Amino acid sequence: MSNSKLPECDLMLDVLTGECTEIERLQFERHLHYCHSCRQEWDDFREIWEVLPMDMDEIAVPNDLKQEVMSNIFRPESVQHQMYSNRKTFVFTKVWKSPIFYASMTVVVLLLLGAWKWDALHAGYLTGNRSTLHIPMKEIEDFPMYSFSSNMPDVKGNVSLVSQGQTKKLIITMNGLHPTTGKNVYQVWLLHGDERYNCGTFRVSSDGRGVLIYQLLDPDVQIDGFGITLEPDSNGSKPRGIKVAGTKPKQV
Amino acid sequence: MDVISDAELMRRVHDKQRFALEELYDRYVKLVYSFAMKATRDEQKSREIVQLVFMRLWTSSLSFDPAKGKFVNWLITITRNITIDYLRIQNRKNHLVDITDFRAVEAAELTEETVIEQLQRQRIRQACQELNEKQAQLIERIYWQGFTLSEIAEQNNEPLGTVKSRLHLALKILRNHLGLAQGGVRDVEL
Repeated sequence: MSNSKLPECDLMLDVLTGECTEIERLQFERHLHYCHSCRQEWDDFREIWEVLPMDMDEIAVPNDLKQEVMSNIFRPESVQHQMYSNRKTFVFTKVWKSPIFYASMTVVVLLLLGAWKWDALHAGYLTGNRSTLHIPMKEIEDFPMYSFSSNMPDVKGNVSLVSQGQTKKLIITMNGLHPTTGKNVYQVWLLHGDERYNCGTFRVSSDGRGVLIYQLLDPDVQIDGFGITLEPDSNGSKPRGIKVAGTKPKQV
Repeated sequence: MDVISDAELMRRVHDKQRFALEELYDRYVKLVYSFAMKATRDEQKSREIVQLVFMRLWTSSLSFDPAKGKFVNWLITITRNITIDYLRIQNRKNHLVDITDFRAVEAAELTEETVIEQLQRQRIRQACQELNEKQAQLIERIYWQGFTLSEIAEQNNEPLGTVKSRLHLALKILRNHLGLAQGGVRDVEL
C-alpha cells in the first residue's frame, strides 16, 4: 500500500480474502491502474494466496473413496429416480374429488400460465428454477405408445423427447391405463438393444391418465424405443411386471 | 496416446462423459482430499468435501477458461469455496484446532514428477515458519478455515484494523521469504 494512502488502498485485503462487495472489488481494480505500490503488492499477495495450498501434506486417499464418489454421482437410475420421482411423479388419487383440490389446481394452473406468459424474472420466483427459464424447450422426437396388453386394449399415449439447453427430458403422457392399487406403479423403460433403463414410475387414478417427466442422466443415450410395465412397487431396477405399453404395436 | 488436457477433460465433463470426470478424479483427488484434510482434520468430512467438489464439477455449469490460469488453481478455488461453506454449516466455532496440532496422516509419495512440487512446498513451508504464532494462526483461520477478518477480530476481541495489519505483515513476510520481488515463487532457484 502506498505511503499516501487512499481509501481504496484499504480494500486490498478485503478483495484478497473475498470479503468485499462486487462494487468494492471493481473500485479496487480501477484503483490498481493508478496506484503503483498497491499494484506491486497486489500481484505479490495474490501469488502468495495461490501458492498457500502448497503448505499441505499430500495425504493418501482412501481406496474406497472413488467408488463412493462415483456411485453417488452416477447412482443407479432406480435409486436416483426414486428420489427424483418423489418430486416428479404425478399421482392422481381420490383427492381429485375434493373442491379444495379443484381450487388448488386452478391456482397452480394460473401460476404456471403466469410464469409462462410473463417474463422469466417473475417466473423464477414462482418455479424456483431460474437457471432454465431462459432456455427454450425444443421437441426432438415423438414416440407414439401403443397397447401391449389384451387386458388394456385402450392404452395409448406418447413419449416426447425434448431438449432444454444441454439437458434432455422425456415427457410421458398416457391414457387408457387401469388405475393403480396399493403399491402398484407403472414404470417407464428406455430401450436400447437388450438394455432396459429405468425412467421412473407413475400412478394412475380412475381416469386412466398418467403423466411423467424424466430428465435423462445421459443426454447422448441411444434410444430404440420405450416400454411401460405394471410393477408391484416403485423400487425395481429391472422390469418385473407385465408390459402394458410400448413404442411399436405388438406383433401378432 | 496423447494425454488429454485438463481443459479438454472439463469440456467433456460438460458433455456428460463419465470417463472425463473419472480421469479428473484420478488426477486431482489427492489434491482435493489433502486440502480438505488440512482444513478439517477429519477423514469423514474430507470424504464429503471430495464428494461435493466432484459433484459440483459434474452437475454445475462451471466452466474452466485456460486463458485465465491453471486448472489446478481453478480447482483449488472451487475446493476452498466448498470447504469454507461446509465448515460454516458445521458450526465451526466449536471445531477450532490449533495449527500446530496438524500432522500429516501419511507422508507424500515422492516421485520424479512431484519433486519440483515437493521442493516448492518445502519452500512455502519454510516461509510459513517465519511467521510468528499469531500470524500463522491468522493465515490458518482465514485461508484454511474460512473465517472472515471481522469474525477473527471478534473472536480475538481486537479491532479489525489490528487483524488487517497482522495479515498484511504476514503476507509481507511470506513475500520476502519466497523471493517474490525477484520474479515469483515459481522462478526461484530451488
